[in-house]
Amino acid sequence: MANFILRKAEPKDVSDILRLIKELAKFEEMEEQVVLTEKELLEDGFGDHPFYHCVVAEVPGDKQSIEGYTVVGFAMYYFTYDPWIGKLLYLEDFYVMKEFRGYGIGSEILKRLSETAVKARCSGMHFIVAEWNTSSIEFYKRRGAADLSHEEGWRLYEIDKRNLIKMTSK
Amino acid sequence: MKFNICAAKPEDCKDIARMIMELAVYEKMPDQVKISYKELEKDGFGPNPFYQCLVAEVPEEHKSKDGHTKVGYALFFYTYSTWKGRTVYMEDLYVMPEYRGKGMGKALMATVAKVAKEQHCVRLQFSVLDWNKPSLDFYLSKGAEDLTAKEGWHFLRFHGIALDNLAQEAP
Repeated sequence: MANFILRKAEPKDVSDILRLIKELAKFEEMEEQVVLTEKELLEDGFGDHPFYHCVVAEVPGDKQSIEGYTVVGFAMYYFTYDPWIGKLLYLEDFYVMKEFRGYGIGSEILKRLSETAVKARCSGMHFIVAEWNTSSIEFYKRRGAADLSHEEGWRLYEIDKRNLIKMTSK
Repeated sequence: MKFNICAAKPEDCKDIARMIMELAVYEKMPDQVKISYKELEKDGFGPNPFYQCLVAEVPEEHKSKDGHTKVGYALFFYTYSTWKGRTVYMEDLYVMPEYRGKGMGKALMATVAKVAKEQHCVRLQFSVLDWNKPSLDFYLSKGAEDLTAKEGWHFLRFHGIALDNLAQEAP
């Protein structure tokens, strides 16, 4: 099946995007952590100040999934900043439905994103991967990605809302 | 010691660039700094800012040995979690060594947290080098969690030639 298109996500895509986000979270064994709603996705991606950009992969009607979906993959990204090298493209989520893998959709999405990064004069594309996700790590490393946690010792930290509020009130 | 935390202005970029280099030296990676105050000005104060920055300033009478009054900074931007929504990512937090222990780091981070709250962000994320014990201790005391340890997340990167090669394959 060579037949698919990649396009910029539109407001009408938010329910498909949320569905795919939940599928990816399930794969990452953290499905219960998805609290985002369609309403927030709509406001945050298509409002006055977009917090993210999204690309979706769509197949024709006659190639729809078992449950009848034509939006079968997505990538969500935004621009970040490294004070050493400048603008970066940060890949937040990247997912293709299982029944549509092996047709080059993932590769095309990644190529499109890297083209976007180069056009926007970004110095690099960053993302995180769970260390047990060896198939994804191999996919990225085959394409030249470097593991900065391994090579330079970077560890990801987080302060949640409760502790954020505590910090502001001290 | 009295100090002030305020939003950075374009004219602060030279001081911010100076402190970025100081932090890179501390992180043992000074040769990786490729941009100057000019890019910082363009990228932070143009029509489409790629980052926000706070600066810690002391009065003249407390200026540093080299005559600086801008003695700390926090550089951050908004990111997005497909699970939880709006997030603030704190890219850099730094206070010059001679001004540490006076509450400036805490005040800078609390101000970032305040901005995060005002923008309805649900969390603050940042990364720390695994050997950087003083910083790790500081963050842990504020309730930070190591997600690399807890959930196994690793940072990956497509950079330079690898990025160009990938882009060249685009149809």
